[in-house]
This record gives sequence, structure tokens and C-alpha cells, in this order.
Amino acid sequence: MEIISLVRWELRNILFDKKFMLSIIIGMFISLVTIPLLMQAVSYFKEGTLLSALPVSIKIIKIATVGEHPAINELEKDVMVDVVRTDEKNAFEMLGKKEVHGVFIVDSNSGKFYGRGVGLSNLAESSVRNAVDRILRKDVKPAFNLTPDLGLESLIKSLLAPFLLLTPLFLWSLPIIQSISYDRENKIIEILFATPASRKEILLAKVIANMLFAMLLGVVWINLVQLSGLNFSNPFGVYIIFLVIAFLIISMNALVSALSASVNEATLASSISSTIIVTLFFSVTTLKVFPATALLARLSPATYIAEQVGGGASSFPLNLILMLLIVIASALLLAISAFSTEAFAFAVKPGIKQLYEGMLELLKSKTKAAFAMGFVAFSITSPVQIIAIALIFLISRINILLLLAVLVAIEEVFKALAITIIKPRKTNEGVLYGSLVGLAFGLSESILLAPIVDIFILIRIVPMVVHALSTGLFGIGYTNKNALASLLLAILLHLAYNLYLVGYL
Amino acid sequence: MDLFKKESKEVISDRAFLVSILIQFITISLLLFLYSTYTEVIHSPNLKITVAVDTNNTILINRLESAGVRVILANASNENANAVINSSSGEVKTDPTSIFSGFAIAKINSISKELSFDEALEEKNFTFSSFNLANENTDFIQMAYGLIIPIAIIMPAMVAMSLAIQSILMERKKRTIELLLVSPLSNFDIILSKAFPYVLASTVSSIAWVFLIMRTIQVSNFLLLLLFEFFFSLFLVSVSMIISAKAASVKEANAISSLVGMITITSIVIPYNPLSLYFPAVMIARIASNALDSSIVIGILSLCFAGFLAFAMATKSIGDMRNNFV
Repeated sequence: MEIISLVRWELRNILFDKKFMLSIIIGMFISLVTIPLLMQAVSYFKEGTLLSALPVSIKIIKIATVGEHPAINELEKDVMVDVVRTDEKNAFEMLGKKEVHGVFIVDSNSGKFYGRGVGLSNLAESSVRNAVDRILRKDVKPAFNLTPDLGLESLIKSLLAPFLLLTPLFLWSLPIIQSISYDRENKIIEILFATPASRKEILLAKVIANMLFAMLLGVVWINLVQLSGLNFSNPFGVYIIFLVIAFLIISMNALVSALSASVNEATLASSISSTIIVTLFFSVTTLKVFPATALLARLSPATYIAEQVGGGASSFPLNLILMLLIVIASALLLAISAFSTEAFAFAVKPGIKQLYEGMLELLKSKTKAAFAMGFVAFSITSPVQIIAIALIFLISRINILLLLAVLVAIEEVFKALAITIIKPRKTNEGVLYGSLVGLAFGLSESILLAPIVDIFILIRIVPMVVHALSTGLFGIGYTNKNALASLLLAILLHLAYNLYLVGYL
Repeated sequence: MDLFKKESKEVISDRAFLVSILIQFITISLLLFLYSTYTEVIHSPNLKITVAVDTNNTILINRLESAGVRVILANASNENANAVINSSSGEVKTDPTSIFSGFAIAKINSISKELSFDEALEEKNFTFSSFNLANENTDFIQMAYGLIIPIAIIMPAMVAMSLAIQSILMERKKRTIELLLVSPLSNFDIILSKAFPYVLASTVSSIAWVFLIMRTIQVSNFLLLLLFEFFFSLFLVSVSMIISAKAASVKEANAISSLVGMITITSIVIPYNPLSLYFPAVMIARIASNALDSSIVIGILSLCFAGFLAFAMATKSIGDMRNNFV
């Protein structure tokens, strides 16, 4: 019962903060104005860079022109160029004083451009060239047109959509930081701790209140966004994805505020974590651009939103949502653990050990905690893996062997870290906790990968066994003081299986 | 002066500030790295871009080869070709599985433009010649002036703003502001010693970033850029002082500062209009690329005015607080 009244109290705190609500409304308004403007800017983007579509390089070059020709009028239409009409003597004087980037002397059958040997002169020259080109080929079709059409415009539009849709979440997830960090600084938390409600209930009430707030605004937001020109073929699916991402950001904010020592730190950490979440989803979605990596783009929930804008009827990424819920659950579990430690009340940063002890207290059993640690390890591993994939992609063309080796090593290292936190003493404990961590990890991985790889049996059961085996192996090694050797062995075992899977062995 | 020293020490030893400096450094160097890599890579002879052409069009093949592209005949073998050109229909097919196809498209595009331009010149009996151009690759120079330099100037000011938002708010929460209010320090002294450490920190860090950028990109009016940075951060920091003196809660202050950030970013996408010249990003790009002209002077003067106005309002908000308190 306590939890309901707590939620009501928290929700009232959010909704009755007039200035906060006002800034939320203004923020939504700004985003709504931005959407059509940005979409319009993108529609200029046919060839050339996106920057030439955005008005950031207005009049960055100045050209002195001598003579009369329609090309000069055409040049004046270029927003990047500032045109000064003058005579020849004056023009070269200006060029000498570095007041202009180039001089363009033109008559009815010839044009000469004089630069001053800097990079911007080259930019000026290409603007002049474009202006002359437009005048000369006014009615004539290009002699040799090779412009390839990649549908870039609609692609960029669909990629921008999730980004614009998700930006208000930065504001919407602020109340949770306020109600955790700020309540502690103002000693309100002490009153809450004195109520019959348990610490778990107090934190959950705060999260639920913030989530209800986001759900409420989400309905308004999705409808407003559709009015401003982004149309989704399945608004309800988009709404669900939106809520799951909101839930993820809110639970991450709950975690960082429970871990940090002051409001300042919590605000900074939350802005970093929310930026990382949104950027990560966004950059994975951009993998849609290359057909070779389009499949990987399915690992981001933002891809679904992008596809919805494109008008495609894509299937709802249920597995991905399940996986995100696992990540959210791990974040919440850690947040509650941190919230329950004494370190929280004294505004001291809890160590990893203390956090694990808090988790142990919460779950009341070491085996359950080991299973949970598998999920936690998975939640940390997947973003690290995405960054690793990006780096490898940047360095070389996709090299399957290198990619697999790095990914497997990251997985095994994080699972091993989980074991070192659990600290099993005897060999049988090592095996048990190791395989539990591996099992939980494998379970989450299978859920994530199911829509990508269609070898169902292999993906669903065998990999879980492999994960359990390899981490169990590390558990044995760890309890027998052979941690490093067993880690290498675990990596080799896992790598061998993955290589077998892709057909190298 | 003692208060100023104490505040400066706090700013410099603030972990959040140090982290932000690190993040800014990484961002700027990453952008510069991308800038020079893109420029280098697209002209590198080592870049193995292969284009297949269906006919023996010597002009096209010569152009492609001089742009550093390996040309093969389409009929012979299409293996490893990043793009296949059908010169009669003008259609280009690319191999989307290779990330280098983007470079192939860019090169084919610029060559196709050059060819059409030359043909049009010939047809209309017009000669075009250019002299004294820089002997360097300038494909991404717009990105340098329109993006990298504005980021190096705007980012430190935004960071200073988001850090400064907490300073008075925290003193209010801890009730240490009351000590300041009853002290003989004037409103002006308090705001000066609160705001200036942030303004100076952001100006100094942007000096460092601009120096970093100047190693790759030519920047004119260095001093004017710093003046811009100084007034811009004075304006933003003063605004955050006003917010933190007036806001009722941390949440509210954060929400308002996020809004100010959103507005600054939105100003980038507002379509071209006569006022565009005075938007911060545009002004920075113009200062860095142009000689001093009237619109730059007007822009800096109005920014200077806005900065001092905001500063005066911040002083007044401390005065209000003192009146309410005493």
C-alpha cells in the first residue's frame, strides 16, 4: 500500500512544479519547430555536403567581381559568397590587403579567377565555377550526367527522425535525479527512510512516478510529432519503443544518482549516460546506410522508428525490447542495491563490493545474485562490443576472424570480472556461480541475436551451454588460483565454437 | 579578490570541469583527425578505388585515372569494382558492401560535373581560367570553418554555462550565500568573482582549442575570435547566474539550462534570413575566414552589449536576493 501513496506523492511533486512543466512544454515546442526546419534543410541535400544545406557557412567567402555578366548575379544567389562589385585596380588592391578571397574578372566570352593561394580561395573558385556552370547550361541538359541516386534524402530523413523523437527524453528524465540526489541533500530522504516503506519500495516509487510522467507526456508527444510532419505507419509500436528507451534512460539516471555523491555529479553523470545511450542507438541505426551492415542496425530500437518514418511495415522488434528490459532490470537492480547501502545515506560512493553486498541482501541468495550478475555483465558488455565493432570497422574492412576474437575476448573478460566480484572460494562454488553467470549471459545474448541469426537451435541452446561452460571453466581456474590461464582457455573454447558456427573450422 | 581566488580554485579543481576539458579535447582532436583523414584519403593514391566503365571513352577514363581511380573495362570483369558506369545512359551502379563506394561516388560525381562544365564552355564559346589557387585539398574546407571552429568556440562556453548554473544554487541550498550577502562585498563583487572564473576558464580552453586547430586550418582574426568567446561566455555564464539565483530547484535550473542549449542548437537549422549573419555559429565562421567587415563589427558590438546587459541583470538578481534577505 505504501508504494501507491509514495508514487502519488512523487508524481504530484513532478506535476505541480509549474516552472519545470513550463520548460517541458517550451522544450517540446522547440523540438516541434526544429523537426520541419531540419527536414527542409535535408531536402536541399541532394549532392554535396550536409553543411551546405545548413546555414552555417553563410558568406564565409568574399569575392571581388569586375565586369558585367549574368554569372555574377548567379554568384550573388550563393549564400556562401559575399560579392563586391568593383573595378580592376580596386579589386587587386583588396586582394593584396587580404580583404577578399579572390577576384573574378568576366566579360561576354571569358572569365578569369585570381585567388590568393589559400584554401578558401579554392572554395571561392568552385563557387564561381558553379555560378558560370549554372548560367551556361541554363536550358541545356548536362552533357554527361552521372549523378547516382542513392535515395540519400529519404534515408537521412528517416535517420534523423528517431534522434528528434528522443531528444525530449533528456528533460523528461530529470525528475528522478532530483528526487534521489536532491532529496538526500535536503534530508527529505531521511523522512522517507523513517516511513514503514522499504528502501526498495521508495526507489521503485520514484522510478514508477517518473515513468508514469513519461508515459503521459509520450502520448501527447507522439501525436504532436505526427502533426509536425513525421508520420509513422504504426504509431503505437513507436510509442512502445519510445517508452522502453525512456525507461532505460530513467533507470540509468536512477542508477547514476544512487551512485554519485552529489547533485552536481549526478547531473553530469546522467547527461553523459543519456547522451551515450541516444548516440549509441543513433549510430547503430546509421548502419542501415550500408547494405552490408544493415542487419546490425536491427540491434538498435531506433531503427524501428526510422523504418516507420520510411513508410515500411517492419515487424516489431520484440526480442530487442526483451533484451532492453533485461538491461533495464540490471540497472534497476544495481540502483536498488546502491540505494540500500549505508553508503547512499552518507553520500559516499559505494564500492563494487558494497554494491554486490547490497544486491546479495536484496536477493537473499548467492546463486540468485550470480545469475543476476550474468545479466549485469551482459548489459555492460553489449555497448562495449558495439564500440569495438565500430573501431574494427574503422580500422579495417570487416575481418571476421579479428572481429570474433575481439568480441569473444570482451565477453569473457566481463563475465570473468563478474566472477571476481562474486569471489567463490571452493571449486564447486566456482563452477556453480561461473555457469550461472554464463547461463544468464547466454540467455540475454540469444534473445538479442535471435532475429539476426536464423539457426534457432544452435543459437538458443548450444551457445548458452558454451557460455555456461566457458565461465564455469574460469570459475574453476579462479578458485584454484589459475585465473589468467583459465580466462585464456575460456576465450579459446568460446572462439572455437564461434568459428565453427561461421564455418571456419 | 579573495572570493575570486577561492572560486577560481574551486572551478579548476572541480572534477566535472576537468572531465569536460578532456571530453572537449577528445572531440576537437577527433574532428580534426576526421577532417585531415577525409581530405587525405579521398586524394590518396593508395586508396584502391576501382571503377568499371563500359565504353572506351578516353576523356572519361583519363579524368578518372588522374583522380587516382583504377579503371577497368566493365565487360572484362566486374570483380572488386566499387562502381560500374554505364556511360550511354549515365547510370552508375555501386557496390554497397564496400565502404569505399562512397568515395567512388564522390569522385565520379565531381568528374561528371567537370566534364559537363568543359562541354558547356566549348559549346557557348566561353573560356574560364583560374590562377593562384592553393595547392592543397579543399574538399572539406566548409566543414572546417562551418563546424570545427564554431564547435571549438561554442563548446567551452556551453560547458562553462552548465557548470556555473550550480554555483549560486548550491550556495543557496547550503545557505552559505547568506554569509556572502551580509558581508561587505558589493553585489558586483559577488557576481564578478562568481562569474569570471568560468568566463576565463572557457576563454583559456578555447585559446587552446583554436591553437590546436590552427595547426591544420588557417584561422584569421585570432584575437577577435577570443574576444567573441569572452563575450559569448560572459553572456551565457551571466544567464546561468540569473537562472541559478532565481530558480526554485536544481531540476528547474537544469531544465532551463537545457532549454537554452536547445535554443542555441536550433539556431543552426533556422533557414537563411537577413539575421542569419548574426547567429553565433555563422559569426564565428565568418570571423575565422574573413577580414574584418561591418557585419562582424556590428555582431561583436551587439554581443558585447548583450554580455554586459546579462552581467548587469545578474548583479541585480543578487541585489534582489540581498533585499529579500535583509
